[in-house]
Amino acid sequence: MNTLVRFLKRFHFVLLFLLLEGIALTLLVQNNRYQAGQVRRIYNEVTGFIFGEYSSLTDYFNLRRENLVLSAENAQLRSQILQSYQTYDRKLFAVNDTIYKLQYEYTQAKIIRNSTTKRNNYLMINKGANHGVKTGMAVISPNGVVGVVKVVSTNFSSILSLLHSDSRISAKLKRGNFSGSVLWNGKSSGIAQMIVEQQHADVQIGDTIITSGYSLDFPEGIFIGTVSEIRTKPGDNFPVLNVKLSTNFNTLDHVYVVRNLARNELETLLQQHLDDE
Amino acid sequence: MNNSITKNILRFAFLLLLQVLVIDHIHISSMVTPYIYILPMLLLPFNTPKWLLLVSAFVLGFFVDIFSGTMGLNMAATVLIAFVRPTLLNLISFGRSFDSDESPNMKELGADWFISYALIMILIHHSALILLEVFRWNEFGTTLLRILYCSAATLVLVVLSQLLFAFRKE
Repeated sequence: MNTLVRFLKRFHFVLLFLLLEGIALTLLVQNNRYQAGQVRRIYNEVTGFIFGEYSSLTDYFNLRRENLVLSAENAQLRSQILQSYQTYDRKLFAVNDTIYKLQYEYTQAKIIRNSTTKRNNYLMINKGANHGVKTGMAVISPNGVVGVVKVVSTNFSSILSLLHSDSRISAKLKRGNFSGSVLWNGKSSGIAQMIVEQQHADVQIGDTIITSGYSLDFPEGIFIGTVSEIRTKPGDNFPVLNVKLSTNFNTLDHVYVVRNLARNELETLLQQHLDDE
Repeated sequence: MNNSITKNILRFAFLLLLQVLVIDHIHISSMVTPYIYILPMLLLPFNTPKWLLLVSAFVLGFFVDIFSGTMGLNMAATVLIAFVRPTLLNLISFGRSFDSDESPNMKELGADWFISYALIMILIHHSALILLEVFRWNEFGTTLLRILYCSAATLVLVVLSQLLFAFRKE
């Protein structure tokens, strides 16, 4: 105790300086948006680097499972390429280039940090501004929707997971085309909720839910999950569905960042439309 | 002693108001803004307790920040020069012992001593302030020029105030 008092007495000037300067800098970062953004960006870069190194150590343990997932996806993609389809009309191929214009570009990324146990979950990936990632881009896995890019630093990005209270994904039922939005109530990492916008929509357990394509970021038809429970509040005809997510967030490893090449064009159009109103 | 405390408090209040009510509204150029409010920090008596230096700097910075809507910015810079002040005074005393009730001033200690003392304090304060405000290393050249211009403007005002007030008593 005595030593402590002597220590405080001796260094009171330096300690008081550190305390007051600490308060001032904390206030600065908390109250000034620009400085806060810079600090968050640097923090993102530093933690990204550390978790990236850690993740490259643990990579080997997951190789087997990753191989299975990749080969499954390969098989699925192979079944989608044109050679897999029978051709009835040769003319179609002659004009192929002008009909199909590439709209979505996929960048492969690896997850270096992941959480599923909190109310608001984030993921971190090893791709950033250098690789063309921008805030707002969609992130999907081979199995389905993952989330949306939130903060981008030079080499890393953090992603607002579907398992987040702010997450809201425009979706539809594959059968019947009823649309709505998918969000997460925080109870289970495997189950999300969907609010259907049409009254008396005909929904059955087991129906597939996919992205609607109405958002500027998600391509249409990406899997979200299947209906596992239907609830309709008395006096309210909008069904609320429990959705069993097709993405297993606990074992997620590789994802794709989706870039909508037509985004600028769509955005301009939408803006003009809003201005006219 | 009591008289000296009152005088210093009045000086703090006056320069604070001068800074936030007058100088902050004169836009000479974004490159040149004098921050004259640190003058009372320069003029506190030599025997001011060290903790009081820090606390008064903290309070002064706090009020400037409240008026300019940059919470924490001026506080950080002002607390920093309060921390540096005792060491700096030791370094540039050159064996001379200061009259402890007296405050550092131009009349007693000479123009070159006072100007170099004020210049070092102002440069430290303005560097911290402007670097924290800009908060990035891009455009470092412009930032550096801004620090130099602002420091020059503050120094001119500090010296003028010394000429006006410190010498008048004769």
